[in-house]
Amino acid sequence: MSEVDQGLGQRVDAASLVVLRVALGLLLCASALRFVARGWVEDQLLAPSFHFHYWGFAWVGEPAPWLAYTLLGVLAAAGLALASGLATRTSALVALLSFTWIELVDLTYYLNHYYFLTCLLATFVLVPPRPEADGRVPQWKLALIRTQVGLVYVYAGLAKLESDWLVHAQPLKIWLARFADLAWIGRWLDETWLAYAAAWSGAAFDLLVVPALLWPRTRKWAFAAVVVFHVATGLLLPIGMFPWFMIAGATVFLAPSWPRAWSITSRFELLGRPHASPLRLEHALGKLAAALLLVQLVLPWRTLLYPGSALWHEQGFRFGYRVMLVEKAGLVEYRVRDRSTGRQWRIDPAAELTPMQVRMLSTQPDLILQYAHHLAARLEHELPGSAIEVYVDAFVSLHCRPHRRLIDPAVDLAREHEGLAPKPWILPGPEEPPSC
Amino acid sequence: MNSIPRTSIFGVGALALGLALACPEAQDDHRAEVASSVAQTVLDDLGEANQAAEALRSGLEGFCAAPDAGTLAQAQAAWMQLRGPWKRLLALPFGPIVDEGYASAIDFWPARPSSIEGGLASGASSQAELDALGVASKGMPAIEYLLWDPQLGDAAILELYLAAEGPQRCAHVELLAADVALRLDELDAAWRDPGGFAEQLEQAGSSEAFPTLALAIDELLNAMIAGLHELDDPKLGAPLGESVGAPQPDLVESRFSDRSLLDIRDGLDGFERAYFGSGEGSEDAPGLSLVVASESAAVDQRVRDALEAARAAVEAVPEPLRTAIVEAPEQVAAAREAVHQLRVVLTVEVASLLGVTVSLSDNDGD
Repeated sequence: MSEVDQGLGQRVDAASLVVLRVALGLLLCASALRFVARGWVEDQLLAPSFHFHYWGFAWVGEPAPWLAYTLLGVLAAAGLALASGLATRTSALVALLSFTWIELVDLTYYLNHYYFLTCLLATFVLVPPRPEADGRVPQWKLALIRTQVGLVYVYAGLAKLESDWLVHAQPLKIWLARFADLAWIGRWLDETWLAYAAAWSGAAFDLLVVPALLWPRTRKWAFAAVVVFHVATGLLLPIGMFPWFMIAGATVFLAPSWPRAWSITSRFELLGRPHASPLRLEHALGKLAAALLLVQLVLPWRTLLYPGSALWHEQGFRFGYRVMLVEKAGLVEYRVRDRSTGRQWRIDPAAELTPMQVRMLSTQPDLILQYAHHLAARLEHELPGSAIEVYVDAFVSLHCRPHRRLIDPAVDLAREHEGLAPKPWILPGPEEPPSC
Repeated sequence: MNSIPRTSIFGVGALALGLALACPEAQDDHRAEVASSVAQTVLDDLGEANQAAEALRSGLEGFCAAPDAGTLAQAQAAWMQLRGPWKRLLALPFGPIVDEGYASAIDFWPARPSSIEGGLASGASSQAELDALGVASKGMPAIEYLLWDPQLGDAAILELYLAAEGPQRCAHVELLAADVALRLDELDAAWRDPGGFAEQLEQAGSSEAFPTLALAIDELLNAMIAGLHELDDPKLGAPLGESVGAPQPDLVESRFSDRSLLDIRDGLDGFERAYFGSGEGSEDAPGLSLVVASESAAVDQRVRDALEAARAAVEAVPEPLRTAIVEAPEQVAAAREAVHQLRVVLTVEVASLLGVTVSLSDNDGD
């Protein structure tokens, strides 16, 4: 047995994993209740007459009202069960399925933290965060979950190593200036030097926080930085529950027995619920969790296969943990032509889509394509015998640069296919620097 | 107990000194001034609109008392006069004007002669009876329809008022004018009263409607974009028949009085007053331009260029619009495109510059 194998097989305290599981379960429950309380079931799941689907998941249709509320109820209950350690693997699985179902209803609601939670819940299904019979877990289980959490920071940091972030402090310059009227700190937020300081320190934070959390000598300071960073971004930016999930996630990097030092072990002892599973099964599922991690580690790099700036074309952008990196605004109008009659007319997507869908559509080429296909299908159904061509006038500004066309206006998008290949109808992005 | 390391004390001291030295001396956040200034501009337009509405009532009273070509011309001029401040108000469709339905109550589009004739035939003779009618049968377009005939001219209109049913027609048009004046008065109160929308804007940053300045600027920018959208799409694009492939004269606004293009120019004036402030860049009454230029002079210049191009393109459309859509559709299309491009710059560049998309999220971000 190699030293690595021995190290990974070493038994460590499960207390930190239990705390992570409890926090995650409670936050999931709170998220589900918040989703309902804010009326998002109606606004986001039920109100839209058209939903954008994930590539390959068109079969996930719009849930009926009863199903939407049931899914969120199930998610809240599964979160509580997960927190209490009740049938940990099963409750993680139920949480994973209900959460992912809701997530898959509409692509315009994609968020990095939704993706992260899906992956973390999948890891929990494969490697349940609960003590084994001896009250401990092998080191490899802790390492898998730490890697799952840590890769969010690392990839968020890598994504910041580009010129708009580092050289032009964008989009932070734009975002921070919005809070110039805040008491005490507002006067600094419109200062260019602060935007640069925030950009560089943000990149450094993302890249260094995981090693700093792992190194015992810097751990306390690094965790304090995690709390300050996430609370500050949570207060300034509309990122919902993301900061709280990440603060909870970062606790897994503390010493495995850290809850005992805080005298809260006894409270969690009950929630730990030691469980013995067949060793071979645990190892097999652990390998699956490692494979899932490998997929997440590889996926973000696919954007290199597409020419041009991913901030502009967004090909390969999702599932890459490129967190809070872009400020784009766009305006999209469709031009439709019926080949059979020669008639042409314009369609404003706002007539059918919700404001949120329009906003996301306006800067994302794959959504623009999907809606073009929908328009063609809908109109050919409404106008029997018609042959619909769909063109688009899409203007986008990236980080306050002069606006440009995002899509070739001469291309009939009704004839273009969805897929992973580079999309030649996406026009090149701007090369000039931001004008603010 | 651990003592505080000396390096930490020096570090904190250096940080405090650094912040103090870096503390900006002058506050260059102009958003509060702009919000307040725009509120004042709207109040000015509301005041002018209310006066004009009263003048329209008087004009119609004079016309009904002695219907002739002169009094008809006076009533028509009063209607035209009211249209200016009203169209400037509609350039900023936010607050009570849309939230409380005044835009459609006062200026339903497109005018429907059948609904207006239905309102006339209903015999409504009091405000309560008028309130029971739909918005398509009243408001400024209804008054316009009852005062103009673009085909047969003023003589035909006079004939109607001098006929046996003339007094009933006159009473109805007077009732319509009183209704418009009443609605404008209510709208004025919704803005001007203590706690009203003007106060909310003037106290943006601490008011109930706008707890942050960013929210007020977002609302203003979105209103300006919506106002432009109203011009390029329904008021120019729709009459061109962009959706059906043939000109649609019935969708031309103010088609009875042929004020259509002046309506659009007034709309651009309203936009311009919100963007530049009252009196081009005046420090006393700044517009959104001050905020935009302080973040990016280049973006501000692009708005100015696009506005100038839009104005020129609208000016180039031959009067009246109802015939231009048939005889000079290219010029109408060019005007539509120029106003659209102004909207693109606002929606895409200014919104991106001011980070408007961030705060408008009705979902969580990353």
